Amino acid sequence: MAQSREVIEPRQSKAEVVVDSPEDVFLLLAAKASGLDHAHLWRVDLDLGNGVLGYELIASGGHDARMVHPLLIFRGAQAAGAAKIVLVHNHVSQMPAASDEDQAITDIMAAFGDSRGIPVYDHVIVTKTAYFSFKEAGRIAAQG
Amino acid sequence: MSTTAPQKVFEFALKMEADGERFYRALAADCKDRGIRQIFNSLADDELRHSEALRQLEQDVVPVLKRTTVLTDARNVFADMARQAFLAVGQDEAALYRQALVMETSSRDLYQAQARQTKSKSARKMFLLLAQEEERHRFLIEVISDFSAGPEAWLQRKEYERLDDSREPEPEN
Repeated sequence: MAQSREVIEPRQSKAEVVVDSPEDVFLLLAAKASGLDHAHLWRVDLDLGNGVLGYELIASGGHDARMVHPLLIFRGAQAAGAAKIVLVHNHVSQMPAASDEDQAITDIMAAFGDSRGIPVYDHVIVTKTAYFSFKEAGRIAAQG
Repeated sequence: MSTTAPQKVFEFALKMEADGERFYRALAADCKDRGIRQIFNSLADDELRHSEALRQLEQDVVPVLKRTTVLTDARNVFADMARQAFLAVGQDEAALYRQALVMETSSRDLYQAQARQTKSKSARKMFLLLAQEEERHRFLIEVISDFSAGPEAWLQRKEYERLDDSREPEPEN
């Protein structure tokens, strides 16, 4: 007997900006990230249809901006009503390649997001002219 | 005697690292979760390596410090934790995590201060490296602490405020 297959279409977003690719994330924050001389970390809040609800600078300055308290990331996302988030940080070296530590932090934040019901959809490293997407590289569990 | 920092600074830092090692070994010994126990032992190993680097620096030997892998080692532990129930942590253990956070923050700040004060380039590099390692430790403890707190406690906690943006920049990210 043939089984019926339900095709689930992604929900449409009513947001003005929709993230279809990491390039969209890059374009969203490139102007802000360009030329910064120290590390910054942003959180982009997405709805179920990948529409951008907003974004927030989480940390900047001295200590490694990637290593912020997860509460700062996920509590803000929850307050914004985000269904999922994208993490974005800049590499002042202008080399977009992800380090082992970038990977570890991505995995830890993804695990934390899963446990809080707000998955990390992607983690994008940006430089002035390039980006690296963990999702595009298949180095983050596909979410959303 | 070293020219890279006052002797009393080395004595204080060495005691701090020794206290840290003992603290994490004790936490590991009492920890029921195998993954977290492994992280605490790694943190203790790191503090021991820091002591060795400080002793080299004290003797004006250019120290060698292999970078910590505690974050990358912890990846799978957190993935497992996300799939499982939250850690059951009692009040005593939560207090110990807070104590660990204070320790790591104090260590980081001490090494950053020494990096600013020393005139030796190699000593500055080493103090900054030590500060970075303590920052990684602090981050790990925070994440463990939050996993332990559970979602309800997480929603209710208010003590964490926005990070101060006025911190001193580091050369690399």
